Amino acid sequence: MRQAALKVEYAKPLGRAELEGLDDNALVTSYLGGASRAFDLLVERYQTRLLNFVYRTVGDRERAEDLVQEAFVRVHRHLGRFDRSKKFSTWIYTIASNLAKNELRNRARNPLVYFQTMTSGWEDEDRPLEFEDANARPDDAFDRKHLRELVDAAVRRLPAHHRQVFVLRELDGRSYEEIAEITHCNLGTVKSRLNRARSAFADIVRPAVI
Amino acid sequence: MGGGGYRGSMPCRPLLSCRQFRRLHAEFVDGLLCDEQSLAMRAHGDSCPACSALDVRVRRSLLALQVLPVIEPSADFRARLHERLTGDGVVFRAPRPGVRWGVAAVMTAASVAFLLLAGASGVARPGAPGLATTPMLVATFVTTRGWLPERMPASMPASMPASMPAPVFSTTGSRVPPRDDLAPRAPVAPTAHAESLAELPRFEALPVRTAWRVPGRRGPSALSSSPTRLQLASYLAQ
Repeated sequence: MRQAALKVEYAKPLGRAELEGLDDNALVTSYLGGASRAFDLLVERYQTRLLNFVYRTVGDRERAEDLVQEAFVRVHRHLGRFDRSKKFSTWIYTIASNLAKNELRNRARNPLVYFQTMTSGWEDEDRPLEFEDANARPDDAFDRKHLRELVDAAVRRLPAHHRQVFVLRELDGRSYEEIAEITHCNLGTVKSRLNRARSAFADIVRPAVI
Repeated sequence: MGGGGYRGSMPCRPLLSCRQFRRLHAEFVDGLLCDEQSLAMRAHGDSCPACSALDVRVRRSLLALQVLPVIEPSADFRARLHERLTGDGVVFRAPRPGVRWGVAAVMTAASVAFLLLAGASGVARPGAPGLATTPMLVATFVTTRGWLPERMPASMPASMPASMPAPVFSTTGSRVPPRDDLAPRAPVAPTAHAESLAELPRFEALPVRTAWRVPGRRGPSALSSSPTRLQLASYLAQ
């Protein structure tokens, strides 16, 4: 009988403000439950962090953006399989880390392609404009820029497997356990690599900081 | 400070060698050692100029990392990502709130059961050769959800009328041949037949959010997504 049929009300979809208050795993649950904005928020939370991590790992800005996009696409594709008892951040960093490692491996196999990619954007006109603080003294600005380039170069000069651990710890603030999970290493290896990376980095930037 | 914190990878010892100092140095810099270990590290640093210099050098160099700018994604990053997600065929189809596959499965099973029961009680004739043993699948068209059966037989007409009832297929996907006893008893003009078909209740059109009262129960357990035979029969009779 139609009179006997009771309508079952479903929960209203969450608004943006409510979604923003959720943690990552709850956002994943919301997205799987139909809240399409939840994935946008995940992108918003991780795009800059992932971009910096990948950029410091591969050293090429444009390529880093492509890899971060690829990481989000993979996350999106496999979101249904994500084990929500684990940390979302570790999962997405693992995906991005694997992509960055593959990129470095491909470059090692085919260095010519990478050289062509690098030299294609070498024109000065293509570089974004940088505005310095007008109140700062010119030599301060020069020193700061010089130090920035030196530090940037020092990070790039680290061996890839050391660099990854170094970036995750020093620039991203990941815990040792998370780094071990992301890089598929044990805790001892993470500590050892971090020690070596710090020591090597200190040696490279030593003339500028001491 | 009770020394109950993270103890690192080495047991606490009052005196450390240079090798042990360097091995524990990462955790020392990050403040992850227990009190005893930290004291032992400091004591070693006070007594060993080389290790002390290493400690100072590393800590200063890490401060220099602060000059590195934070890289922001380009302006069109989100737009490009959105384009890739939607245009690349990799869109994760998040289930809509109204879609419950469990309910869909129950409703499909209920419709199958009803058809089988109806066929066994009122329509099937005991003497019909072969057909009673033919396993049948009922392809229900859940058109309200945009779902269609993946395996569509080649003999299916390309354009089916919207009110076409669910056709019956065998397990091999071929259409079950028409039975004499299922044929209409009186000849019906095609248009009239189509109209009468249109009036038939469609199983796929059953409201998926409908709950049915279970006789003899109260409270939340009295609601069920699968109707009893009587409820289904009276629903279809309307």
